[in-house]
Amino acid sequence: MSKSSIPGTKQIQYDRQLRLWGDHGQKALESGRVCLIGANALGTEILKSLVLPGLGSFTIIDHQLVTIDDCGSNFFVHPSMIDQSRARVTCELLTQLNPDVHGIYIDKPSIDDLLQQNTFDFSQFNVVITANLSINTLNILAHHLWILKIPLLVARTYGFIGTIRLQVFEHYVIEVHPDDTIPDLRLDRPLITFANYCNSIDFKSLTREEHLHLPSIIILFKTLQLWQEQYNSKSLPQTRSEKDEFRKILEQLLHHSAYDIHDKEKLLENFEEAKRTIPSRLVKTNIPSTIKDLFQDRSCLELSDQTNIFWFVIHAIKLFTENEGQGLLPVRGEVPDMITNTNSYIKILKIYQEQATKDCEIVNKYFFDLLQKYNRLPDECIIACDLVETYCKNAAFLRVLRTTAINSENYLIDETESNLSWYTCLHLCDLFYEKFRRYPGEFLSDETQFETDLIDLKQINRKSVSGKDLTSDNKQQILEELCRYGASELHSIAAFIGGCCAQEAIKLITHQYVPIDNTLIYNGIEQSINVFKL
Amino acid sequence: YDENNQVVPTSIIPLIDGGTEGFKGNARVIMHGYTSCIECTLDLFPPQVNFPQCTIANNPRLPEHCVEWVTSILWPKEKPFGPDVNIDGDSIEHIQWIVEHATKRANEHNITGINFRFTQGVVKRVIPAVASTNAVIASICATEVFKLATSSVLLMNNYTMFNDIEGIYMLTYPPEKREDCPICSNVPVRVQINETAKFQELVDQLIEKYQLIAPLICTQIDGKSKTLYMTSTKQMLELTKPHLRMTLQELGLANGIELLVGDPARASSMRVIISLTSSMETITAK
Repeated sequence: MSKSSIPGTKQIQYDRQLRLWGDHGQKALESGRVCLIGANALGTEILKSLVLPGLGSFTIIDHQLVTIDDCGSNFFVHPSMIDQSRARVTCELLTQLNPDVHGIYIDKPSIDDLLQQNTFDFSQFNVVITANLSINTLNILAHHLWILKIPLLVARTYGFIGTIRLQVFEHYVIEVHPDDTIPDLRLDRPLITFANYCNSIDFKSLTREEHLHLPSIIILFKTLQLWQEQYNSKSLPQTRSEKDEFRKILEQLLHHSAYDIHDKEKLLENFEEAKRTIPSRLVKTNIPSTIKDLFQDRSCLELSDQTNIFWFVIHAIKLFTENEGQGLLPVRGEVPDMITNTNSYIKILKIYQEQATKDCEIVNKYFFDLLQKYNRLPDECIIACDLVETYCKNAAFLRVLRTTAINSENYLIDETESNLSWYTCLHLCDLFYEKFRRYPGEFLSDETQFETDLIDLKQINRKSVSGKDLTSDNKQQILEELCRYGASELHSIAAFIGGCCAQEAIKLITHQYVPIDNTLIYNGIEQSINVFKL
Repeated sequence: YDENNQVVPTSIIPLIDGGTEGFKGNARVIMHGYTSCIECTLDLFPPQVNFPQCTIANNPRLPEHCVEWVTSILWPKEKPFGPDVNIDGDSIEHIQWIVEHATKRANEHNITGINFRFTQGVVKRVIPAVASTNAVIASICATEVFKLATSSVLLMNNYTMFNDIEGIYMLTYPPEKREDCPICSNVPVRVQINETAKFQELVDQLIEKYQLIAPLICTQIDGKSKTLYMTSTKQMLELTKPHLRMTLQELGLANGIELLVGDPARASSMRVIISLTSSMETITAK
């Protein structure tokens, strides 16, 4: 799909999201395969936000039949469908949302039996998502997927509370798209071509026009050179007095013989811009600690023919920084707009772009050499071209995400008053389910049942918290509220978690934007969110 | 509001409002009189990005400048599809024409990066969107309505910002209610103006500050109501137009006088109190 010709129907249809993740992101999404376990309101809401943007294919696993309860909370089932296969019905309606998406369903055997038989191939999927899956089945599935190294998103809604847990062995984020970045201009470690260009400008013989349109970056560089000369320094002004001296020198450059009396009160916009941008331009250029950590990571240092391509590129960039880069990452090649004439801006832009291209070529060479060394060449040749360029452009932001396995979650004693209490109390509800095969407050036969359930729930709480009795008032209230919910599914809460979960899946499939690490708890009462790293 | 300047609870119609942009979104629950309203926080909205004219005309540097040049300078000059045909962002032919000419200009200046999608984005001021963010913000609004209808739990207090660019982040807080908010409070707004100013200046100031379209301004002088400015009928326009050229003094507007300002852009009239400053004060206030 190219951007230059007239847009095809798909490009028009997906126009709004193409501007967020690009054609290559869309391509990745359209090859994506997702497995959903649980075709309840939450499950269908998750799939909805994946089907609409054009997910490649999905598989629904759900052995249950549509009940009247389902109709109360799920947009995708209708009373006329009661007693039909829930998986089939929702699969049909979801594929109607987007005919380009391929959907299949499995309504027998159940997920429990599938796991027991161990013949189903989960590794065909990019992501597996569960929606309100019971704890026993979840533990088995989570373990299985951890071994297979397939990412798992566990979504849950319970009354006004919602949670998402991401379990992933190793995930790479190549395009982070950070909200706000400092441009990579390197005034303290200037590009040779940039320094030469600046030095070629004879400041004293500038015409009035030229002075008026002098790019702010050149003004700052010139000032820096003068400051460094005057104070015999090779670095940037750091202390208050050094910065004041810097500004004084800048002020002096404002005055120029090319101006006459009429220009006395003139506000020089380019100089104003220079002053304004000092904090973001006059910064020390270095390699972010996150990237240094990547360079030291075992996977980077111990490459093999099994290692993911990501680490090969990281290693190639590392070699670059140790040699031609002289301790710095490849140049990003972007220059922010500044007040100046066209020629000056384009000239500066070209300087940085050419350096970025040069740096990228060197990284590419290291990359190919590594691939050759570890016998990876035949498969990877085709994708390599664009790939290295994307990595280099985003070199300062590359990320690796590794979460803990769900099974190793130790139920921490929660001393805080935050939303984490809801999560730990939900776990108590799970323990209740393990014992009684239903959730507290579910299927109430009469008034007294609620009281009994609540007492049982509190009993479980006391048993699980060894030693101290940590039932604060807050926790007591939470337990009571959860009992009141009786594992009910509110559609709007399902929609919230559905939207969030779908976007996390898209992040995992496209390797763009950073996913949560690793547990999200949504409180629909206060409309607040906490993300914890469990 | 009742005679004691207290909010009448039964008169409140809750307003639930939400919006999205790419991976960001917000939602709010407004109970006029109790919580802050949209007007209270209006000045927190950032101004629209507009490129300066001299950049568009003389010093283009970015591909956006070239596109803007075509839409704001070349199109009105050449009118390629007819004398009264304005740019239609959804018309493929229009966009193609703009792409062609913007590319020409870009090539003259060694600027790259223009293509169909980019151009359409600039012309239509396209805001990117995804299904997931819309689902999230819509669900927050729906949850709040559900809470209102069922009185099951407390409502959100009262403004939420959502962002899932990096991880997922949501902040809910109650922005402060402006004591003199022209919409939700019953307190008149105070406007400062130089005592020697003409009425035109006051009208311009009000139009700019409150984004009015065609204000109707009246007041009470010596117990009698007087229409100072009205444009809805030709007759009234003719009658009140001369007022614009008169000074505030000539019109009988003393310091502290209260005006009533109505406008098609506002559901209810604003009470505005004039505060006259001498020349010295106005300069230091700037």
